[in-house]
Amino acid sequence: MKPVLVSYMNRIAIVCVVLLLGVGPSAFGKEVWTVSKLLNQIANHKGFIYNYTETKYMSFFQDPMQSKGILVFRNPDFLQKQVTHPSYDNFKIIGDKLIISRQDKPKREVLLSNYPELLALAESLRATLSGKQDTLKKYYSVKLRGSRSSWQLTLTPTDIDLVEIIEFVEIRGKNEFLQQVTIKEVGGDKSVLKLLVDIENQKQQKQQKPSRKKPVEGKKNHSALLNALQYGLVAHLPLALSR
Amino acid sequence: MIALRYWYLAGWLLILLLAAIWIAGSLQVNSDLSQFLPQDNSLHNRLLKKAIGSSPTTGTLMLSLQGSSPTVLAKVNKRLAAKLRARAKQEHTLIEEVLNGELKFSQKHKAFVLRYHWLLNPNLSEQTFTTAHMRQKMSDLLQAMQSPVPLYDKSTVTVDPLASIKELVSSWFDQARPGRYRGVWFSQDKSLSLIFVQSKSSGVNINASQALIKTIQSDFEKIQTEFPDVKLVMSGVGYYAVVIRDKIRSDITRLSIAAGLFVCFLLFYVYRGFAPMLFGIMPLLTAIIAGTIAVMLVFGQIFGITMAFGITLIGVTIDYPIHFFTHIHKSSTPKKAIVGIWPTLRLGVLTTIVGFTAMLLAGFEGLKQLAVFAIIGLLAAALVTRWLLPIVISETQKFNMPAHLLRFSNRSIQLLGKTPWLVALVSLITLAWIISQDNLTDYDVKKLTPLTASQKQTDRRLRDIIGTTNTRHVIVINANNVEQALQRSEALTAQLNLLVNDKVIGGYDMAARYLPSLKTQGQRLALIPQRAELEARFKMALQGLPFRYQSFSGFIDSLEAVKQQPLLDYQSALRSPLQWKVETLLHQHETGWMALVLLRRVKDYPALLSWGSKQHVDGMKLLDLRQESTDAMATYVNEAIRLLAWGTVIILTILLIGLRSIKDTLRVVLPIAAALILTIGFWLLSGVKLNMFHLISLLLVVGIGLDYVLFFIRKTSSEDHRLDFLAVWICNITTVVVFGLLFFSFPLVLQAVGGTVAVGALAAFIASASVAEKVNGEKSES
Repeated sequence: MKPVLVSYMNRIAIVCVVLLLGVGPSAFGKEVWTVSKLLNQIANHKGFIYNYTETKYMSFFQDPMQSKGILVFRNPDFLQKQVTHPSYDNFKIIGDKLIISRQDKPKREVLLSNYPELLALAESLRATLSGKQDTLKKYYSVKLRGSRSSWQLTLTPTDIDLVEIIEFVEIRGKNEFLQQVTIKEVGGDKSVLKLLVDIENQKQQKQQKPSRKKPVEGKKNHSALLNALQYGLVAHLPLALSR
Repeated sequence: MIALRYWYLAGWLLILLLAAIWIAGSLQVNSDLSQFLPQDNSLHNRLLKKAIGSSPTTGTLMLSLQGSSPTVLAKVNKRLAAKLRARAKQEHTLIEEVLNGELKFSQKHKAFVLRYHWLLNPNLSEQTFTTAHMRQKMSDLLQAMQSPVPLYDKSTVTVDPLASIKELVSSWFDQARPGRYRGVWFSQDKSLSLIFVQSKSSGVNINASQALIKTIQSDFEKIQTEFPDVKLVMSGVGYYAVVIRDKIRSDITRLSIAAGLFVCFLLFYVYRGFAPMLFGIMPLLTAIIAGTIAVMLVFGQIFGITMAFGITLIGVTIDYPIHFFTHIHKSSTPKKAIVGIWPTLRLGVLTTIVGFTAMLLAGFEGLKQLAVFAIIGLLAAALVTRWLLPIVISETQKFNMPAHLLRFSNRSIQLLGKTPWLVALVSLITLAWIISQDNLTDYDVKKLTPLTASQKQTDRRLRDIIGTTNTRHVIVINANNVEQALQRSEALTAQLNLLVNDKVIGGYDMAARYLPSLKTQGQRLALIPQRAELEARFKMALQGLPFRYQSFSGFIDSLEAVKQQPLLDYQSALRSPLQWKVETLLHQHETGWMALVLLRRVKDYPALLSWGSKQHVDGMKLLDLRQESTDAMATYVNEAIRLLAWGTVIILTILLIGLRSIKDTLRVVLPIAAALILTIGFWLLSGVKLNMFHLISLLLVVGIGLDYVLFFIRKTSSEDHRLDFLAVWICNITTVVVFGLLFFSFPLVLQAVGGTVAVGALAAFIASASVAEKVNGEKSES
């Protein structure tokens, strides 16, 4: 009887251990570690400051090109990319404006709402950092893999204009921090953005607010060409009416 | 005899009926209002009008969506555009193209730009292909690549790393274009979202425009069920043409019914019977039908406004049977009555017709039609009144005019007869006041536009958004051929850019901007270095930069290809996406070519004028379109006045012959002059300056006045005379009421006519009554 009982208890114990070690945690994780959970966690932060290293793998480059800089995000819609190497360039996205400043050139401004595909692309990073699931889902189908300590968010464009340019955007991270953003373009080119939280810089940045100077004269993007051509066709509707 | 009478009546009615059926079957009504404006004799204006009128852009409808949030508007915009685009693909469609700012770059457009951008780019210079410049451009590209979103066109970067395409496109505008939100065109404040629908037909084709508008509206209504807040507002030449036509139609219908009911009622009331009512209207019906047929035979079609206008003008033919019926009484059979009044009636009709003959010489197609309509109508009415009416009216037909009417009309006229000095005094004072006024006339055509203030505002707003306001200033460049026209335009470019910089003008548009002259293209071609040289320089330029030289072989090849292919000539441009621009801005005419330079947002007109006078480009002329058309109108009116002067001489001659007395002629002329003075005074006092249509209507006042005064002064028995008074009195009420109705109609043109004639007829009545033959009232009974 006794050995039987023991072996019975053992079996229960084994089952319990198995449950605890294997099925249990995984079932627990699946239930809780969702896109919403991830985004909520990220959104708890008022902002992020990352040091980044970007590598662009482009067919027209001799070798992959590296650049470095700082990436600043502040809730809800301020995203700044400050390039420090190889040149000094500053790109800020505030709301639907992209403001470009370079030491020796006049400031330029691009209205992203005029170029939906660019806005959509910018949202891949910005909406993720602000935890806006609705915005993300407007432009992408969103898939999450991995665990809290090592997750991978894959954004596949659904926006009709973006599909023509971007194959997917893949974001990897740990807890609420992003570690790597890969943008795979249609045609094979890709860029990889490696991110490291910069705590020291984060303190500094907190003290000095990023400048929000008034934007200067607009700057046209390549897709202005299309607008131009279309517009050109109707540009001077006749004065006949006034005659 | 009775049988014969009925045969005549039946025959007459049958002819009218058949004619009406024929008209209904083959009536070609043209609603083009512009035909009512002067046809200019100067080559410039004729061409301008043709250029502007026939431009494919008249077929463009501007749709604006409003009344909801920008996000919803953008959604509705995309859906409506998609529906319309689907229709554009169907057969038998009216839609040529749908533009709403969405980035749908057709392969045709792209191929064209890639093929020709080196030749078309105005920024191409000796600098362009230097090592230093190319290096700079490649560094710029590198910088643009650091942006979080791509700022360069990935699909063309390897064939156009110097961003020549971008430069070309920027050069195509010097002005604001509609902004975009969520990929579609919006106004600055995001309250309006825009779609442009280009029709396959021109906007002047009203039926096509109407069908297109219906299609758009039904597509929109389907979408609107989901978004009930969103409103669709349309604008554009075609849209307004339809609106105006519908409005004129409904106005005319309403007016005709009102006027017809009134006339019938009056005839019934005065002559106490259905037969007089019917017979009273028959000459008018005959006149309308005869006039319409005459115009259709002579001109092939009839303008809607000619009909409207013409029917009112010959509305005075109702006077003829009134004169006739009034004189039928116990001792005067119909035949006797007509013979009695015929000489006077004939003189009145003839002089009126002479007045309209002056209009026959007018420069307006519309007015010529009107003259034919009126002359034939008046003749027909007079003839049937003289020869047919007396036959079909029974000898025993009673016209029982109420006695109180006779008494009242006689008393009022006798009262007026005591006041010639008062009429003369008021007229002289008015004349003096008129002479003291500076501006009597205003020939600004724009003020005749039958659009309502809100429609004009919508149009202005939409034009503002797309940046086409103030296109009234134009430079015309005449040349022998396309190349010369383009070269001459190019010679102006530098100067025009200065004007833009100095903020004299907001911008300009010309064919040469899109299609450079072959000479300029050749010069640009010569700037491209030999292949080996170019390769060497480009390699140098890339040194130290991460780019792979081989990736840009497309760039080198494209420059090589430009050298092999022909330049972009006029014929090829017509088959390219530039077609519209080239067609609208460059026109061929009998003696050569004309290039238009449209000046936008002229801010400093005097500076522009002084600039224009300093330019010495051959064949160039700076025009103010609005001024031009106003001048044209003034020229036309001056010509019309000259014609009228001749008309007056003829009228006077006829009067002298008819009356055989200078004194009587003066008695006729002076009251009419007084009536004209008082009518002009009326308009000026109410703050309205006279336009051409007022002047034309004065002609009708002359005709009506002649009619009145001739009857007032004719030598006849007192009995007849008292009947004359009654007849004129009734005629006057008819005219004042019918034209008064016209005054409340919608097109300004008809308002001007209605007001002038109503006031003029009243003034003519008062003035001519003041010189009427004295009738010895009750005492003359014996």
